[in-house]
Amino acid sequence: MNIVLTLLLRRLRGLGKIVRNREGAKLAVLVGFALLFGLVMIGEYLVFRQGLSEVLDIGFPSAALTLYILEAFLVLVLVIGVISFVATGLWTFYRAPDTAFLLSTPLSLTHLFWLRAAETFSVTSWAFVILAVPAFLALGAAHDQGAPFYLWAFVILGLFMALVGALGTLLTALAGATFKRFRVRTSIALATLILVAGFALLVGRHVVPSPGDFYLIFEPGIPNGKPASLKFIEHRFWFWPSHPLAVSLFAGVGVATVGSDAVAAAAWALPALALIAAGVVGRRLFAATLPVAAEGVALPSRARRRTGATFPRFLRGPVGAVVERDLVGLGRSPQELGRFAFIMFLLVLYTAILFVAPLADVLERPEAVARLFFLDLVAIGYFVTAFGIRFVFPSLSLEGRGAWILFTSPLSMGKLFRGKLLAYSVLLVLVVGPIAMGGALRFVTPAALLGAFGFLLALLIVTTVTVSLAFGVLWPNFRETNAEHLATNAGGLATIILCLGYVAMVGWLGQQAAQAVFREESLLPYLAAAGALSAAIVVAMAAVARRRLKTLEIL
Amino acid sequence: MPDADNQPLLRLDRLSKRFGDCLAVDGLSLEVAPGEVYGLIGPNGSGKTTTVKMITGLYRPTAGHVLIGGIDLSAEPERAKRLLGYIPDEPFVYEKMTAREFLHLVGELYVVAEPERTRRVNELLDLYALDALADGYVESYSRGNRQKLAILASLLHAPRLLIVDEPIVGLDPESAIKTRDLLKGFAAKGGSVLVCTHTLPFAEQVCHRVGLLKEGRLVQEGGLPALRRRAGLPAASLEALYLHFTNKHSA
Repeated sequence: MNIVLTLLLRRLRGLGKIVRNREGAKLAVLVGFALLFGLVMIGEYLVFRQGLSEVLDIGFPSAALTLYILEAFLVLVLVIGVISFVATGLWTFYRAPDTAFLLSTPLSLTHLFWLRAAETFSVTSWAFVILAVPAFLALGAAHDQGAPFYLWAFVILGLFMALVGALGTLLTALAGATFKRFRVRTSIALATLILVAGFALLVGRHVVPSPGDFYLIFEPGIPNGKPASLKFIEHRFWFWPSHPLAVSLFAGVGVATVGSDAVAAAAWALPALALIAAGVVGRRLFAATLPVAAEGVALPSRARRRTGATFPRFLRGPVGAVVERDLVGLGRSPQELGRFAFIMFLLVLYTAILFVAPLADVLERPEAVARLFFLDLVAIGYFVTAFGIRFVFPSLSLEGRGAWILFTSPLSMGKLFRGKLLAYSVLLVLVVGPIAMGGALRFVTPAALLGAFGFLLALLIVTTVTVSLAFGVLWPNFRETNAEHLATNAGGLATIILCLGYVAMVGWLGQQAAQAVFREESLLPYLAAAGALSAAIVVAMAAVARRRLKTLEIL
Repeated sequence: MPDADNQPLLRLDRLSKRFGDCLAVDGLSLEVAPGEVYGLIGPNGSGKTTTVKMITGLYRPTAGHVLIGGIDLSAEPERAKRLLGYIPDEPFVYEKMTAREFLHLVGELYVVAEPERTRRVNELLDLYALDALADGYVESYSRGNRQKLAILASLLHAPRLLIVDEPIVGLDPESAIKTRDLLKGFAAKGGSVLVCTHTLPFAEQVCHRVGLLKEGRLVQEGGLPALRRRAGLPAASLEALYLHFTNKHSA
């Protein structure tokens, strides 16, 4: 295993070097991202803390509700963790660019398997830190727990991460073996689709509470010394692998007796068994699949393509051709497609939660609806920013060492900037727009307010795309081929900070507009303010990008 | 042979490029006439690629001008680039496109109308017998095939000036001969070619004039007979002349 650790540590050395050598700009970016994530986690902690405290105030049913929240929360993180692991892992395990090199070294397939598992886990484990840590801390704080609980929560988090990593590894190996004859993007799409459909069915039937479930959760009966509500919840979640961990964490709070010795043992046994299964079954599947997948990369892809096809097929003109090439490139890159599908999955999941959340009482109160309006706009703005930073911001840099093709041609870079702005805006409107508007329908009934939501959404998209494109022009890096690395440079950080600040402003203006509608006043001043703010940002960023394009050199 | 009556298709006027403290190209002036193949040779780091990148618009000159067909590249870049075809030293092309799609994309960038484009693409693919591979992704191509694709792409819009950086690296001998004939044929039809290369026998075969660049300055320029006279080596090859002039200049 030493070799696996050595290879993993080599990837971390770059980070250590930045800190040791005090590379000012890079260090600032690192600190900036740490602060940004820290702020997000603090925000989440405060929301969780308030929610759990309010649940405690309910009185008797609070224990059952807390357990339900924990069970549902861990299921959600498990689903997100496993799907993102498989979608990323199918690429990392079988198509990572350094596979050919590593296969030519004395590194064994077993070591390569564990290296890929660790790499995929490190890329996809952010959800645990970002989501689980604030939630666990908030649970302890809401129940006035001391150090032993936090230590216990830390152990549970470790077991949970091991469980999800092992399940993800096993499923990745299984999906790789099942779809080894397929093109990698097809295999990622099929595996993700099957997992999403399977989990959606299970989550819909077992996690989302029905009105009848709420009746049982609030049931005061205590047959055989255990509240019926807790029994119902345990029965409801027993087959989820996260159940023993949720119960063990809940037991740590000490408000009620749940589970059994068998369940407590399962909290340790399940992650261990999953790791063994991954190590035995997953490793063998990987060893059998990798040679086939590696050969597939080297095969010419002639038979797969329509022969004699011209290009572009749908758009016209030089700018249209480049935009179509961007879209074709996205569609043909499994990694990019996987990332796109994953953000879409999170957006759909968020919207589905809006629909299943028990909001009936909340929607009676205009003040609460206005607050929801704000929160929903901010959430959608966050998704648009995620699309912007991952796909729009790197679009110039990803021209890479082929940048000479565009920059030696008679293509006007100004026109290309405007063309990309239009294309990415239209794409995001088409992709995000219907889902976001569908979600807004859940809590917005007045037509004027729905129109305002659509208007603000359009502003969010156009402004975010402009900011992402412009910072991409200001901070190009034609030598970096990894879009995720590009998104975490200084320009990426600036894009995130500016976009999120802007999103918060537009969200606040949206809330004011909603309150104005409920007061039967005009919402136009707030919409005009949002329009003016967006226009100012778009004009300023486009001007800065235009100046930079005039002096840009392709190094 | 070059047509001396016409105005040069490429003119560099006191061109300089500075990177921080390093002056990579120092007041370089040269001209390439219609029908002429001009070879730019010199040791590593002499400023050849920097010069090529300034001519193609990838670098901005610190001082001086690039005139293509009499059009100032910095003043009217889009008009000037229409006359230009570029073959880079590293043929990086879009991996997730087929060769045919790539050639059509380049044609669209240079506003070549669709029927003409299709005719030209088919004609060019025949040139290196790439037709069999043309509908596979570029990611599965060898370096040599990528180089051929870059050469074909540079010719698609029928440019008047070709800027070529190391044209035959990675090509098999048969393709290298074809490339040599292609450049000669291009010049014979009135086009101008600026070739930047370390392959001196190749330069000797195709170039009408050669410019020797050292530390960003043009230290020698002329046809092979003139260079031989200046060196006092009447039967010397370009390789021998290169060594003679670079060693002399060092001394």
